[in-house]
Amino acid sequence: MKLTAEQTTYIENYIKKNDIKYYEVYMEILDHMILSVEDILENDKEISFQDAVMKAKVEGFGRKKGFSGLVLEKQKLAQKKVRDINFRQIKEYFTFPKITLTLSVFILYYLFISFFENPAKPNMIAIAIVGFVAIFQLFYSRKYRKINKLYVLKTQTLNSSYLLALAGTQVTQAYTILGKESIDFNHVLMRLFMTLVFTFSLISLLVFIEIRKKTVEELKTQIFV
Amino acid sequence: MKNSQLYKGSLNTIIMKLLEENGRMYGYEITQKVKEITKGELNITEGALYPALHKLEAEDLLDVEVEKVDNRLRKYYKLTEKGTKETVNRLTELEEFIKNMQSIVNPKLSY
Repeated sequence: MKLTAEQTTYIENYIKKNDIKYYEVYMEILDHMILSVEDILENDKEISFQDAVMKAKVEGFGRKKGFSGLVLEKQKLAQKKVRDINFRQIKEYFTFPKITLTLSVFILYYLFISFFENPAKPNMIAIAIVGFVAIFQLFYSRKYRKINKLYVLKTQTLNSSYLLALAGTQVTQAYTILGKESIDFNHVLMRLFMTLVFTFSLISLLVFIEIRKKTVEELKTQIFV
Repeated sequence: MKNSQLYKGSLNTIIMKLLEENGRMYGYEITQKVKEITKGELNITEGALYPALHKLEAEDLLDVEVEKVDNRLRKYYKLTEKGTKETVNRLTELEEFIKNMQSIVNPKLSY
């Protein structure tokens, strides 16, 4: 027995009210719930539509846990997947052939800041440029950030993991502003440290762009915006 | 799931076996197929099925295809190449397990 448009809307709202904040989970549960309710109504002519919806949820997902268990588990898996991909991609920049790019960036940046009497200022500008490009890149995938007022789990997990890395490099470079008087920026160790932070922030930005591109391509085939 | 403790460890293998036979399937279809094959004896709940499917997908054993059906989206699961190979291993392991259990529970039948 096929459900009417009103009945489908009722199930859509029912799921949204039950702590489903991710589009991917909502999409899957919606299809399952509709099919399940259709079957219940087909096999039990006495049951009301509302009771059939409740029955489908309780029998399938449990009275206590409901849909929330599924959301939590999906969230954990998405975080693990992003962590694994990040690690794999970053590792590539420390193995041949990409290590040549890493070393080139490291050496060129070190030489660049060595031109200045006080390398703090150019370093601050360089890191700020990376931050600006990063924010632009984060906005780039906004189309896939939310659908039907629900978050897209893949985009959200990827963005928050990158935001953490970005915040890390931006906070680390705060010493160039705060420690102007007390730190000797001309010291070789200081130059090496600034070069290291810059190289890491550039690699994490490149990795983020690569993963974001792949994620958007994947989402295009799975989510129709 | 009926007798959940006994079936729990085999859920992933059951899913992989069904996908091996049917190509691609969506969540509700899997629960109904299991019910049909076991004549209602085994009932996989959605609360157990989806975490298993998502875990297999995260392990790259399953691939996902999404299609528009009746004005909504339907997520189909199918085995990846890695998943197809892993299904053979897991089925062999399960068959061994059944054989061993048979030897313990009913030694006469195992000969």
